[in-house]
Amino acid sequence: MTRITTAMSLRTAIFNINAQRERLATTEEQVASGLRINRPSDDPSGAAQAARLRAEDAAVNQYQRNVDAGSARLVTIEGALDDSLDLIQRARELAVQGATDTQDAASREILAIEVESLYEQLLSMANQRHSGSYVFGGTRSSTPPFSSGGSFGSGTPPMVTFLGDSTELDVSIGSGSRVTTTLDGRRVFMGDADGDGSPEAGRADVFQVLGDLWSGLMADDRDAVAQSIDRLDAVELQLELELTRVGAYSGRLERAGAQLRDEDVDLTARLSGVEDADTVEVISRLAEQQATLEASLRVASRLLGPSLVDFLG
Amino acid sequence: MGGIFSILGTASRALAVNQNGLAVVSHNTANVNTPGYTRQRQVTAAGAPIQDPRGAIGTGVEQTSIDRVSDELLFRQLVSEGSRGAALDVEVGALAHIEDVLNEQSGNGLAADLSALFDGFDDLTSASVPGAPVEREAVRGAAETLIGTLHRIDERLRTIQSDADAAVVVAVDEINALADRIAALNLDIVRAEVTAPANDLRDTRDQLVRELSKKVGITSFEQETGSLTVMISGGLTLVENGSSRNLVAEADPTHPFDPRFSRVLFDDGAGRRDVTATLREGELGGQLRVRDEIVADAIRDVDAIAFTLADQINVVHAAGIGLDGTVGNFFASPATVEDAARDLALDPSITASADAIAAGTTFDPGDNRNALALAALRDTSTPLFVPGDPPGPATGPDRTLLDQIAVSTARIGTEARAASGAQQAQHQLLNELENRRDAMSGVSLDEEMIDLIRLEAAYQANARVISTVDGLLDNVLALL
Repeated sequence: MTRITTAMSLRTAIFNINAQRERLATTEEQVASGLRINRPSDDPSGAAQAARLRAEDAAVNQYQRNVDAGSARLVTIEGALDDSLDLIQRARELAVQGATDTQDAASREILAIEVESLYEQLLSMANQRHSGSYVFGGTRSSTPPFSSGGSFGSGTPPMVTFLGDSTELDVSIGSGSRVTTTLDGRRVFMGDADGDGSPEAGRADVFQVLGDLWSGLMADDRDAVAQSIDRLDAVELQLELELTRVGAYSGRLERAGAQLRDEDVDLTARLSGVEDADTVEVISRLAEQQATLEASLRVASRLLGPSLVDFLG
Repeated sequence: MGGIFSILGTASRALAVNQNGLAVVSHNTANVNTPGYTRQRQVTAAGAPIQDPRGAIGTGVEQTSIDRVSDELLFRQLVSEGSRGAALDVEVGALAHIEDVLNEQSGNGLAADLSALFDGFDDLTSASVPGAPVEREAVRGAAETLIGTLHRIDERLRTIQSDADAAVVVAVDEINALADRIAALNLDIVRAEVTAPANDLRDTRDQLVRELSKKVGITSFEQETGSLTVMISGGLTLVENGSSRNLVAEADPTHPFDPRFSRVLFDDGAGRRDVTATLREGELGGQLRVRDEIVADAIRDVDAIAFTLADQINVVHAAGIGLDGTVGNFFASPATVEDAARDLALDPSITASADAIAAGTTFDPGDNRNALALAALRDTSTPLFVPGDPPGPATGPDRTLLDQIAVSTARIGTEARAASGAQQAQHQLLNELENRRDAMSGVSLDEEMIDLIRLEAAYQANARVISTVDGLLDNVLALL
């Protein structure tokens, strides 16, 4: 039989009460923070997983911001191309009018004046800005990419030169995945993708075509004007192709945005699953631990009570 | 045949013995709450009889000794487990500190700040204002915050480390003082035990030995004279008879972290030898392990992250061109992995102007190609630089930096969890051993009360013998 001494029962009581208080403190912390993992040692692998999920979620949020910024830029570009197409279609109407036999030099000159205005508007479209950045200038975003030398007043159409850069800028929409959010202005408006200074086969320099139309109208040259119609058709096709391209980029961004939203929701749910405390379970555990502690304290208070001393006369 | 007076003698000796017994009970009862007190027990025997051919007549009771009810084996276990427990207490405390420093659970910390820097690079890629002045400032701000966090983490870890070093010096002083007191008690005990067991002196010595065992791992054995020999890990004799040796804490110029940190030397009178590496237990062993292993590893982890971060970003950054035409590093290149976290700073060109941030591969204001490459580092896993790598290639595990932070934190968490599990088990074991010691050596008030009653009754009975003898004597005297 073991001798049970006075100090022993007290030591055991204190040891157990301390252990219970510690467990209770852990549960109270979980209730207060709402988290199951409050420090890495609570669940090292869970904490590492939570850290990864948080890093992933931060990246997803950033990719969403990139998508938003890219989409906004593409909307500007799409608007500029739409407006340019309208201008070209109007120019074609003018060319068709100018090519009819009923026109004379004076009426062709009136048409030419409108072409002048279309030309200026088109130049401003090509120098379109998005929050201060020239969207068709590639990396040279702070200076107008298209500059015109000379004016219609001198008798010849102005010469437009491309001062921008033909790089198309990407944004990142996921790990290793990027979407282009600008277009090469030289290719769009001058049909020159390879930078050799002249349009590729089947492409046209929009400013050149409008300039030639203007020259034909001013010179009262019906044939030259008639020729412009076909060239304007080609220009229209060229701009429509670029619009399709923009549409494809926007579509990719839109899909990525939706996907990222889903991913964000999913990551948040997974993070919660890893680190959040189950409130119902934690609170019932808290109540249970409080009751146990109370019982232990009651028992300890009695331990100090009875001894033979109490019963000696 | 014994005379009537010899009965008186027997009874009066019995009174004295029972009175002594009561004194032992009172001593035990008085010390019921004294830590380390060992209950004492009066040992009695029948006195040597007077030999007579008609029958030997007893001479009553004799007190042969007052014993101490102790178990040396149990005591040794308490000593060695106490050493282990004290080391674990120190380690668990330090690990909890480190965990606090590296805790990312609040969503703040190194990983969040690093994510913010990558966010900054991403924002730079999608900036719409040419030259992205706001986004450049934001990148620089995020980098400064990250550097600040690394500095703060490093500083707090180093504080824990130097606190451990200070505790080493204190522990050495305490160990020396305890060794001196144990040696002095050895002399007292040997001297006292020429006559009788020095129970209370032994209790005091045991208590000091247990205190010493909490400071440093020791083994002890008792010599026949009653003197206790105490040895520290490595078999070096700290206390023998009346003399004690000293431990010396002195600055270690070769310490990899701080030349002011102490090493522990054992001074055997003739010379000193370095015992730092052999001290694993007790507070001293625990603090040394905290200083040289646990915190040291954590600091190295953060250094490795800081160095790899600077290297990764610099390589990509230097491939690009700043808005102002600058080509160069983003972070000032740390020379070694060691102290990389403490020394990390922005490259002076970046500090001078945010336009030096190489967002592009040209200095065009809209060029975002290099910023894209910088932002992509978020998901790029590269081998981690570990101490000793530079100037050679990185030889650490191949991970993304964010992953590495998660792994480092989890490592500390695992270590803290294991240590606190071991600590709990150790406390349980110590509690169990204390209970076993108590079961053997502790005072039970019930028992003492029973002894009190028993001795009181015996005393009364012997007093009755005396009064009876007194009656007999009266009868005899009446005859005169």
